[in-house]
Amino acid sequence: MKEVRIHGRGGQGSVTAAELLAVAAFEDGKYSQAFPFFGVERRGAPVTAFTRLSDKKIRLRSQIYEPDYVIVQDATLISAVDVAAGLKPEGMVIVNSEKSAEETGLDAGIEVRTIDATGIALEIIGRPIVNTTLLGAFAGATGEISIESIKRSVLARFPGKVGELNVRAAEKAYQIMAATERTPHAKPGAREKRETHEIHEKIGTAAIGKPGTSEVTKTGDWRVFYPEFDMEQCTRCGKCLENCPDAAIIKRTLSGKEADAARKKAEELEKAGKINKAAVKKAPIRYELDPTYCKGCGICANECPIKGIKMKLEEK
Amino acid sequence: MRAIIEGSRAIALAVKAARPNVVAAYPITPQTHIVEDISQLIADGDLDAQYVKVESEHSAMSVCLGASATGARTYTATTSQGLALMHEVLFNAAGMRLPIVMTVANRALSAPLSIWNDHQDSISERDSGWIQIYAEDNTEASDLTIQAYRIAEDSRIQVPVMVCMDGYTLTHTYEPVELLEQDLVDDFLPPYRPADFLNVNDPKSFGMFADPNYYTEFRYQNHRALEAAKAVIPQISSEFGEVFDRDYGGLIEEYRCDDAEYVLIAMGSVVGTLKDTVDDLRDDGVRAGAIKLRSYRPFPVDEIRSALAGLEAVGILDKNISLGFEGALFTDVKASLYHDDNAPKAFGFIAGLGGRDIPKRMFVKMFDCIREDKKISNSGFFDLNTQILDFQEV
Repeated sequence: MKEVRIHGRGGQGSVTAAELLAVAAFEDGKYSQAFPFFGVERRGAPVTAFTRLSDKKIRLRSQIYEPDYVIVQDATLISAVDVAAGLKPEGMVIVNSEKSAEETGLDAGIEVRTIDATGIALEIIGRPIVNTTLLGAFAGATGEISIESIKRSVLARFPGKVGELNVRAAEKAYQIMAATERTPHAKPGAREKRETHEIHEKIGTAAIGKPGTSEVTKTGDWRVFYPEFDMEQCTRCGKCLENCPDAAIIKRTLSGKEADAARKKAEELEKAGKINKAAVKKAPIRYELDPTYCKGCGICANECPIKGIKMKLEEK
Repeated sequence: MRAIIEGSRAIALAVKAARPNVVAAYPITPQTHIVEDISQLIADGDLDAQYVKVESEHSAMSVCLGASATGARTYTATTSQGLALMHEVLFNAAGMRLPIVMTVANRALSAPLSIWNDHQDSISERDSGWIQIYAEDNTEASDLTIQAYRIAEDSRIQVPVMVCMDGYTLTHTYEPVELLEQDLVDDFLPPYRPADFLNVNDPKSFGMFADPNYYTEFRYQNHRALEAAKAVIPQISSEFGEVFDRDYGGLIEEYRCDDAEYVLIAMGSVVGTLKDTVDDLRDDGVRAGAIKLRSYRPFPVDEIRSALAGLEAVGILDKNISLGFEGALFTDVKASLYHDDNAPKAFGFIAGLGGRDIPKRMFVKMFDCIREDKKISNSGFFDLNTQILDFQEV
């Protein structure tokens, strides 16, 4: 039996990836099993999904503690979650990253293979949904499953154009991975166990929590896109601010020289007929992003009545 | 035919094959996919049934009760808080002897809020007069759905049935499932034709008032029906086996118990992990065995007694607790053994509450406990993280 653990964030399709892999293995004539473990059901929160592949019927229902393979859909998870926990000595970690294996920060001695799945997905699918791309990479890197079965499984779930684009992305990742040899395993030494999973904080008698936990969770780490505000066209209606689920848009009123400069620029725009007089008065009011908490969900861009917010790809 | 589908989908397809007339349900995690799939099947015209959208689980069960009284085959599904909200209607459905079938996607009860799996929800409805059968995998849950209608509608039984399947662990798991062939289901499960039903041309009252001269006798009959189910459940299971070539046995399933010295009893999907653990221990020369308790109500007293006869020790896993006492299954197993002089020593383990995972190594530890006759500490809470407690052993 081979066991695969997938680490991702809510909304990245980790659970779907686990399911598609199980379906593909079934197509290959194997027994398989896929199941999720949800933390908080929230876009961007860490999610784990599991797939087992076997020649025999699978009875085991526990989570996977000693995976043969780990797929990391989002490299930012590596600092928060011990993604390689329990990895078998001959195991492999596949990370979605444009960086090299060494730069991922995973312990030396683990076989790490990286692939820029986000880049491939954006290029081919047009969206940073990387699950199918990584399944192609998994097929190419491990040989545990045929790329043809992955393709069939993706097309069955996503018929039509969407499926075809996902298949192309998977195929590309497959080719890249299949073309590179597996590195011979360095014998993994005693891996330093990280404490990220262990909970030691004492609890009270009843489940009574304290406020302010959203300050602790740096949701900015989850971001693939960020909003760019067109402050020239912005009417300062405040809808983006009201709708931001993480209060990551900050309203700031400029003063002194900064305010004068903003007003001056606005007056020029008014003369050029680009904005109205009311907007000149509001020019010192600025909406700014709090990058620590903006998770790039795009709700602000969606809500903006003048479509003055554009979601831009984060340069990592 | 075998297909790889989500557990919830398997249940929706089984419900479709059972041809219910009325489905009434209120969505709640982790039951949601089941009723979404069923409403889609009805909307697409693949299932000819009336889907009644309701404002709560109390209403869902009330609709099922009313519909069932008219002679309709009815279905619903729920979990946790939703099942708790149905509580009073459950007793009515059983007392009115209405053969409703319900899937319970087992989940913990609040507070603290948990969407994850344990058995507290259905165990807490133990005395409602419903038959409760627990599934180990998604094929069994699907097959049980069909069998449940046969059991519930059997003229010797006429009580509603809960098919209990673990939330997430089964409902959200993709695995190969043996699909039910419609023609075989039609042969196995004929249309529901009750002797009594609400009919304007032949007026009757259901759920009538019973004064102290009668109430006891109605309760007695209800109890006898559940007792009769002890013979009917295995009979229908083997009949199902003849048609579909999948026989789950009776009220319990014994796994490698023949020459076992030590046995663990559990219910639901965790039994799969337990069986794998037993295999590992057998490889190491330990004579371990497992019992899957399928029918929790009626409780298989005789089967448990005979399966445990001559054993050294037995462990019982409860994914529930009757607060202030112990795990419900532990109590029942011990009660079953009360009259046996050579009853094995019984050890109760409470684990896997609120979605806490039970890996094989935990079962190994349980077997170690019963083999070495260890003192059970922490009131039987076996997977307690004492580090997060200001803990004092009383």
